[in-house]
Amino acid sequence: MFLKALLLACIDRFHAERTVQAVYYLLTGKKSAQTIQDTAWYGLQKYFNIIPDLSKRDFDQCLNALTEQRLITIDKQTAQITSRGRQLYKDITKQYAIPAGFNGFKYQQVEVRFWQRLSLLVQTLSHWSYGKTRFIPVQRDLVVQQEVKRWIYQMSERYDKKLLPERFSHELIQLLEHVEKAELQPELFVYRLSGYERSGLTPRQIAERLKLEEQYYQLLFRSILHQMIALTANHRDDFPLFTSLTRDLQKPVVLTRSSYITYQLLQQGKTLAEIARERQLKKSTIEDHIVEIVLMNPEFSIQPYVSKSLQEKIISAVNRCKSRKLRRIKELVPEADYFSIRLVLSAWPKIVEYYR
Amino acid sequence: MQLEQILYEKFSYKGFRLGQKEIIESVLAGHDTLAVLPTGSGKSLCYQLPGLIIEGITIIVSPLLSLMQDQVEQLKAKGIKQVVALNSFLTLAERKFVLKNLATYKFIYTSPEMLQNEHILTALRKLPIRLFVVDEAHCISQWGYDFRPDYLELGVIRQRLGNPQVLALTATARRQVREDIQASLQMTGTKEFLYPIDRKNIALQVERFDTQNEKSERLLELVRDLQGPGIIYFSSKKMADYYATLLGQNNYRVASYHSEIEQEQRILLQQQFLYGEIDLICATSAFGMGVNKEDIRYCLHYHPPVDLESYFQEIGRAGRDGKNSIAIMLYCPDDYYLQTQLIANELPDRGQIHYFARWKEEQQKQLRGNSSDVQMAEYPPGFTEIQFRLLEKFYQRINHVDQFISTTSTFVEKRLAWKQEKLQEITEWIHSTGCRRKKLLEYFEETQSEIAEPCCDSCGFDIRIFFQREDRVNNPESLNWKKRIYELFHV
Ligand SMILES: [Zn+2]
Repeated sequence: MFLKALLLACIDRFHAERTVQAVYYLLTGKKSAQTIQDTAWYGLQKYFNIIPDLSKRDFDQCLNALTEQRLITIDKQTAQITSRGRQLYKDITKQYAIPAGFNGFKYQQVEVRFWQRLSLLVQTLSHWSYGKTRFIPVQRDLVVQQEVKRWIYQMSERYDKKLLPERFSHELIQLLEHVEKAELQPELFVYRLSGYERSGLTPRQIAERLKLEEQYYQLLFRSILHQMIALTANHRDDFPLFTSLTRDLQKPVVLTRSSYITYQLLQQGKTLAEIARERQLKKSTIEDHIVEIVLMNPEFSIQPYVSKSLQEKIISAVNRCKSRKLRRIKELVPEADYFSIRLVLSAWPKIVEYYR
Repeated sequence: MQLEQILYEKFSYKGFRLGQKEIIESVLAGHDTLAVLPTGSGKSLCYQLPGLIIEGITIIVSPLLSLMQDQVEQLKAKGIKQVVALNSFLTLAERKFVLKNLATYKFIYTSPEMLQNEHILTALRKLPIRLFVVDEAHCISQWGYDFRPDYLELGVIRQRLGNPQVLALTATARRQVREDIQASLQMTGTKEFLYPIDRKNIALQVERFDTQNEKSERLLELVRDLQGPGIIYFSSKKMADYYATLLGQNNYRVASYHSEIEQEQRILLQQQFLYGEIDLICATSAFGMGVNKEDIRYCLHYHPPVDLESYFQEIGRAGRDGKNSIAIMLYCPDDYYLQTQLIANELPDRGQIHYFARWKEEQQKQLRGNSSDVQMAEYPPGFTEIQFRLLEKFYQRINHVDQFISTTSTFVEKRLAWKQEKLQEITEWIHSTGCRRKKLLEYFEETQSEIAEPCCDSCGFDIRIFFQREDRVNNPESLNWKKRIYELFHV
C-alpha cells in the first residue's frame, strides 16, 4: 500500500509530463542530472530516494496493479492518475506521512555509513560496559571496522576509556529525546541495535512487532538516522562524540566533474561566455552545468542570469499553465529564453519561498 | 608446547574431538593430508591449529562465500585477528585495504574464483604460503555431488603458489571421489584419515504422505510438539518465507534464512538463533548457516534434497552437542518432480549454452575495441551463479565456439544422468523398509560400527522422547527504548 501511495503521488505531480521510468529513478534516488532536475522542477524533493532498494520488478508489479484497479492509465510509458486513483490517494496518504526529518537527497551518500558505524560502535561499547571485548561484529565491512576502531582509539585518548560507553549512551539518549519530540518513535531505531547478549531485530521483525509495512518502517527508520545527523550538525557542542563520528560524512555538494570545474571558474568571477571560450565547450554545455549547480546548491543565486522581473513573469506563467514543459511556458513568456526558464524551475522552491 | 595446551589457550577447548589430533599431527609432520570427517565435528580446527604453529601463511579455499565470512569473524572473536576473507563480497575499498595488508595475515580464506584472478595470484605468490587447505574438497570431483569446475584449477594454482603442503577436507567422500581429489591436487605420499560419518545421536525418520496438504498439517503438528531449537528445510526461498510468516503468526519465534536476506540481517538472525532469542529457522537447503549452534534438537525436511550426501550434510546441523536429536523428512510423491526440477535448474540448459556462447562472442568484440583493463563483466540475466561459473570455465578451456557448445552439452547431459541416478538413490532410501541408518551408511561405503538408540523409524522408537518438556511461552516484552539503551550500556 505504501508503494502504491508513493506511485500515485508522483504520477499525480508529474501531470503525464514524465515517463514511469522517471518515477522509478526518483523513488530509488538515481543521481543523474535528469532525475535531480525532475525532482526540483516538480517539487518532489521528499520522494527522492525514498525506497533506494526498490527493485524494478516490484515497481512494475505495482504499476500493473494500479492499472488493473483503474487507479492510473498508462499510455506510451507515461502514466496519468484517474479520479479513482486520486480518491484512493487522498484516503491512504495520511497513514503514510513522510517525516519532516527525511531528506533522501542530502543524506544519500552518508546514511548507510552512519548506520554501519553507529551499530558497530554501540555493539562494541555495550560489550565494553559488560567487561567483554570479544564478539561477532554486526558489520562485516573491513573499512567500517577500521574506522570504528580508530575512532574508539582516539576517543579513549581524549576521554577516560572507562567512561566512554556512559558518555556515549548519554549523547545517544539526548539525541533520541529530540527525535521523540519530532514525533518519531525512538523504539523504531533502538531495537535495531545489538549489544552484549542482546541481538538487534531485523527490519522485518520490528515492522511486524509494530504492525507496520516493512517498506514504510524503513522510511521511518531512515528518517531517524537523518534527524540524528542533522541534529548533530546543528548542535555540535552538545554532541561532541557524535560530531566526531560524523565529521567526515558531512560532505559538500557533489557535482559531475565537468560542472564542478565550471563552478570553480564562476566562483573566480568569470562569465558564462568566458568559460565556454576558455574550456572550448559549447555555450549550451556551460548552461547545463549552471542548471546542475543551481539544482545541487541552494545557495547559488540565479540573479545574474535572469532578472527579477523575468523570474516573476516565468513563475506566474508556470502557475497559470501548471506545466513544466518548457515550450508551453515559453508560449506564455515569449521574451524568456529556455535557459532562463530552466534556471527558474531549478531554483523553484527557494524562489517560491522568496515571493511568498 | 603441547597441542592440548595450545588448543586450550587459543581455542578454549578442553580436548580434541575424534580425529582432530591425528590429522593435526599429520599436517605438522609435513604430509599431504586428506581427511574425511563428519559435518559438525570441528573440521576447521584441523587447519586453524596447525596454521598457528607453522611459520608462514595458510590459505583456505572454500566454495561457500557466506560461510567463509562467518568463520573469519568467529576466529577473530577468539582473538585470532590475523585472518581475512578475500572474496567477491569485498567492496573496492575493502579489497584495496586487504591487498595492501596481505602480508600481515596468518590465515587467508578465499574462493577458487579469486585464485584465478592474476592480480590476486601475483600478490599471493610473493607471500610465504606453507599450507594450502581445500575445504569441501569433494567439489573437485565430477563424482562429487557438488562439483564445481573452478576447483579443477586448484592443482595448477597450488604449483604456482610454490607447492605448499595440502590439507584436503570433506565430509562425504567415496573412494572414487577421494582418488579424484588426490590426483587433481597433485598430492603425494598422502596420509588419508577416514572417520565414521554416522551421527549416532540423530534419530532418522521418514514420513510419507499423499498430498502437500497433509504434509503441511503434519509440519505444524511437529513444530507444535517437538522440543526446539529446530531447522526446517525447504526447496525454495518462497516456501521458507511462507512458512516463517505462517509460523510467526502462530506465535512461534521463527525467521526465514536464505540468500535473499541481506547479510546484515543474516548476522542478526544467526545471533538471535545462537542466543535462543528465536527457536526456529526456515531455511533453504542450498544455503549454509555459518553459526555453530550446538543444541539444535531437530531438522525437518519439508522438501527432500536431491541426493543423500546433501541430506546427510543438512541433518548434520542437529545435535552437535552429542545429545539426542531427530531428523524427520516429510515426503509426498509430488516431491519427486520438484527434485527433478531442482537438478535441472542447477545446470545450464541447451538454450542457455547457446545464448552464453553468443554473449561471450559479443563481449569479446567489445573488449577488442577497448584495450584498457576491463573489470570482470556482470553476467547475463537468467543465469544462476553456479551455471555461469560452469559455462565460464568451459569457455576458458575451449576456445572454439562449436566445440564449446558440444563439449558443454555432453558434459551437462552426463551430469544430469548422474544426478538422476543420485535422485534414484535417495528416492529408494525414502521408500526402503529396512534400517535407514544401515542403508544410508552402505551408500557411503561404511559399515555400522555401533548400534544407535533410538535409530530410525524402521527399527522403531517413540517419537515422544523428542517432544518438548515445558510449555512454550512467547510473550514478547513491550518496547521501551530508554530501558533498552540502559540494558545495552549496563546502566
Ligand atoms: Zn535403524
